[in-house]
Amino acid sequence: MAVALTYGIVAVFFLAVVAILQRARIRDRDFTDFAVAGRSFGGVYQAMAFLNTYIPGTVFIAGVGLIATKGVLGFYQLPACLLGQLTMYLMARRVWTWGATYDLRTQSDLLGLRFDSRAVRIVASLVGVLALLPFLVLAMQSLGLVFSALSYGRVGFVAAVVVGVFAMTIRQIWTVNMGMRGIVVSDLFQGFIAYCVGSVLVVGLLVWLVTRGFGFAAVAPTLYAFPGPATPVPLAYFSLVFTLVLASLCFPDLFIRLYTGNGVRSVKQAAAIGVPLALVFLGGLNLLALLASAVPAVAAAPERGWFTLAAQAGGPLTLGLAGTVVFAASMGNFDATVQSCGAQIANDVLGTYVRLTSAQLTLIARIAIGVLTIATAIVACLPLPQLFTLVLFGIQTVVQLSVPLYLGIFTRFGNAAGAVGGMVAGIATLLALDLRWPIAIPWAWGLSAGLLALAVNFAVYVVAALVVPQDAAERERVARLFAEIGAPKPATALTAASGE
Amino acid sequence: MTSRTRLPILVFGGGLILALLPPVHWAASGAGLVLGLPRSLFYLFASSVLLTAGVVGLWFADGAREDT
Repeated sequence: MAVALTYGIVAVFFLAVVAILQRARIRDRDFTDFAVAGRSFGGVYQAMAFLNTYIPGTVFIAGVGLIATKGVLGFYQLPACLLGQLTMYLMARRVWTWGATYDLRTQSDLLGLRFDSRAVRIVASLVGVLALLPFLVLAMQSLGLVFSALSYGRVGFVAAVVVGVFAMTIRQIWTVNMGMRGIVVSDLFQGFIAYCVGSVLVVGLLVWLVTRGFGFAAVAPTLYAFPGPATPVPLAYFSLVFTLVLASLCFPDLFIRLYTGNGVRSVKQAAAIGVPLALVFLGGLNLLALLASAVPAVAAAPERGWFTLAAQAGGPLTLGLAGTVVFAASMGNFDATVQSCGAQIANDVLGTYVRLTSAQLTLIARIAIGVLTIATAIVACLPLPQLFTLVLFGIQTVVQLSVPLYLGIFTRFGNAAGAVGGMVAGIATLLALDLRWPIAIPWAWGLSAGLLALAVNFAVYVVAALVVPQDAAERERVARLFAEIGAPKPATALTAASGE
Repeated sequence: MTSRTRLPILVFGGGLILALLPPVHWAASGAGLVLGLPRSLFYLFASSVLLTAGVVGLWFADGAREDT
């Protein structure tokens, strides 16, 4: 009976998502519609889509597990998420204007335009897809943990992953058919469940914990400490926050939120709505994880802490809700990630070698989404190392895009050789260091392999720019691009502004 | 910087320094109480509230501009 209730709540949520998608079903007119939903969404949709992509279901699993074992060090995602949304705010005008003017559909499209280089576009796209792959597997695995926890352990982990993979694969029918429009429409509902209902649940669980004596005093004092100068890794917390801040808008699935808005104003509004929501949700969840560290059952299995608390506090009903919240966050993240990978493979890898029509690009993206869904489903069923290590690898990989992305968007400095050389050098350095020190490097005061790789990446970019300065034609081309930022809006933007 | 945006930018700048400077992290580390909260939690929430106020304030101050 209890399992029927927990699974039933998730099933009702899933059917509601499907009903919303069916009701909103609009066929994509072209690849721009498929990739960026025709640049048609307002601020509220944008905010929920951003959060649903930025805060995956694994924050309830790997995130809670990290805080319950390492304490305040694991709070790094809170300031990073807030600063990441500020980055979106600051980039909005440039990226949205260039996107609408040149019909850009992906992050790599923009880098290709800025550096006038096919190589930059392809390398950036491959780095982006490589970084996103761990998150696809994690989303599938998160669902495995959801279905295992909702069965009170009766369904084994592998069988639960298969159930989760099945649900996620069914959901991708609409991602394949509706592209970005379906994702943003469903993100509104999924985001509401994950972060609004999730926040209410977090507050309820906090009250439950505190009233049972698990207040601040019950937490081990060591969990309140950041690694300090006396430890081998004094910069570990800084490294986590700074890497994620830089990486935030480097994730192709997050960057695309700058295109799906119906104007600069919508993108900025999304940040203004998303920041307080993130503060309440992530602040509450992180605090809950810290206080829960004193609960013996949570300490015994920290990554299941969210489900353990929910089951103890309110039985099957609360557990069902807790599982639905994680399901909603995981599904939103997976949809956006797999769609973004598909769009980049079609648009920026194959599309740069072969001249493809809009229909062919859409077809290739759909096939790529299908193949990625099946491939990650298989990998998700395998035993994998610590979930947090996988998260960190994805972040450290994608942050290598930050040098050409931020310097390319905010300055006229740099060239294609430096952009490609920097990214390749950065990834090579990362792979060499990350195998040995996946979290923090003791001889670098706790900086991550990703940040050291980023320093190499930056050095290559700067040296290339100084050794091979832009010629007059390139300077003029880049100056024209930057001059367009303040120019009148293109017609496509004005017509799209009346959408959703 | 206009007078409308000065305050949110200053608030945000304060939050940014608090969030990213390692010496601030080290100084904020520990379980000693500040206004009833363990010091590191007080630091984390205070800096996050400042960042939030900065972004929201910037939106309202910036809203007068004619963005489409």
